[in-house]
Amino acid sequence: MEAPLRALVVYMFLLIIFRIAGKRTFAQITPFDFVLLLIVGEATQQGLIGDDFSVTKALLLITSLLGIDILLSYAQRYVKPLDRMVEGLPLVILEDGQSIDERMKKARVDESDILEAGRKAHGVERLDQMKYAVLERDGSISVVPKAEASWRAEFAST
Amino acid sequence: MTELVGDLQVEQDTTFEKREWNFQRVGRVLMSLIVVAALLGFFGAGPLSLTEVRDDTGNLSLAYEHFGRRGSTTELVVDVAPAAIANGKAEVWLSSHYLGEMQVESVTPAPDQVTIQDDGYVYTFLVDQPEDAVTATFTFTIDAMGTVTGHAGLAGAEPIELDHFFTP
Repeated sequence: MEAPLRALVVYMFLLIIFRIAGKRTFAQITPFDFVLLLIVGEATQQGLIGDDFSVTKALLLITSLLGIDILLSYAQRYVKPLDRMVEGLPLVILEDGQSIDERMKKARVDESDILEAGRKAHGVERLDQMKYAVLERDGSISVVPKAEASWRAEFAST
Repeated sequence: MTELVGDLQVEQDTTFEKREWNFQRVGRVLMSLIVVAALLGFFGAGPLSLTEVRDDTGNLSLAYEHFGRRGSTTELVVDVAPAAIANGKAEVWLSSHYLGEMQVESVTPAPDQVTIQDDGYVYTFLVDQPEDAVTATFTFTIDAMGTVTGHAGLAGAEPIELDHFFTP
């Protein structure tokens, strides 16, 4: 099989399998995830290179892989449905201090993940201090905190 | 399409998200099926892949893997019964078409000679004791994709068909 064809097959396969794995899979890379990624890389390399260890083959593969990536990013820019398919969409998982459990379950996120994101970005202490939490396309969680006066008032009234 | 969720302007589409979850569920089922298929031998050696055939006379039997992957190695084990050994020689014929798709890496034991005959190659093994059966193992590197058929037989007898399917 020619190098560009190998590159295309491997690229498409990795794209699909990482979409199946879901946004959260490598959102926070633990040491184990890191090792897992290295092994995936190693396994991929064998399939890409085969038994041809020439410099030409390596150059052809790199050119093909990056070429496919550039083409795809152009296509994503002009064809919106493709963009969604490749990158996914953000998803609101907490609204007005209330976590949306069904979505969190499906997206494999739990409350501790949201709290962690809140603490890291805004020093938010509790879920009820958050206005929104969004699971972003890259698998990270972004938090929009409530204005302090608003949650203090709510907290006082309960 | 950008949706407004309360005050938040976010490109959320819950219908799309549901489709994505369905896709992921189907994908995970497929991944499990692929792993099970691999364990069973659909992509190489395994219980469903191992094929054993015997010719009409019962003097020749072959064991090989039906499934394989291009670039990997596979074995063909040939058994020749003592009845088919004449003058201290066992002669196994392989079609040249088959050997064009499979590169012979090694033959164990090493044949005494290889002769070209009837659009194929005859591997001759020397046998010291006439009551001994001959078991020879051919190791091939697979050089083809898709369906590959070939023939193997004892010299002068009706050959058996070998049938493979190789993935890239």
